Amino acid sequence: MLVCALVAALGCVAVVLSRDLLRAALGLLIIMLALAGIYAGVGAMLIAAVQLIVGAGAVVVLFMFAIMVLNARHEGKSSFPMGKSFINLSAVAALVIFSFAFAFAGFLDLVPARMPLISAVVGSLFSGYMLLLEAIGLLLFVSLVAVVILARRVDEISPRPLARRDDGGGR
Amino acid sequence: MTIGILHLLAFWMFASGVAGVVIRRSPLAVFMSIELMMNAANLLIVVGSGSAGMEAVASQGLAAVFILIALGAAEVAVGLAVMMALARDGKGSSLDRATTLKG
Repeated sequence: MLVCALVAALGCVAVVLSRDLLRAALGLLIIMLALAGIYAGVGAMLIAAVQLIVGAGAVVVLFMFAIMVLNARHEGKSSFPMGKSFINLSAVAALVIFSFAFAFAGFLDLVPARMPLISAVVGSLFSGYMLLLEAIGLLLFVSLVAVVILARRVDEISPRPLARRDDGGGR
Repeated sequence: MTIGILHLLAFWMFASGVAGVVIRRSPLAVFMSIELMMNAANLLIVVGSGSAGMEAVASQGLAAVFILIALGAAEVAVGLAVMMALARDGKGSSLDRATTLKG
């Protein structure tokens, strides 16, 4: 689990700092896989499986698809005013904070995680969270419709006058 | 010990997500950073629900994470459609040029 945490932390750096968007998406994939490993190590097997299927399977593939469709693999120079010095300063600040945090990490020693079985999780999903589950289904459906509307071309949403369209179709 | 490390990891992921949103210019990269922050929140919920030591609390927390992951998938789908609409208007390469909500 420590290895997975280290890999995920390095993947964050790759996502934030790499200019190549495809590499950033690969970093995101590595983070998703490492997080699934952490979830499995903690004992949350259902969440680990869902993270693998939805996170690594669907989300990252959607990102790569968008990168390929938009042909936007390379990003130009950042227009952020302070640029490099900001990154350096925040890296130093993060190092200081993390060295303090690692010094105190032993005192954060909590109860070893006791995760419920999958049946208990699904039980609470289908009893207490039933309405929320239905709402998520509705939300997915609405977002499907929204994506279809957003991805159409503009002239399909507001059609041109009929005469011109007939002209085009007649030939 | 490991629980402390996981708290630190969630903090690191959220902080680098914020940095990515601030620094990056491409809408796709900003969106990946948002996804990073969402995953940090998920990780923190999983770790926190396990550390309560009560099985009922933990199962409710894991159910919440399940729903959050589905929410994240819907968010990604809509966001990428918005990004294609941006790219169609010629503003896809930089968020600095996308300053109006009207298409």
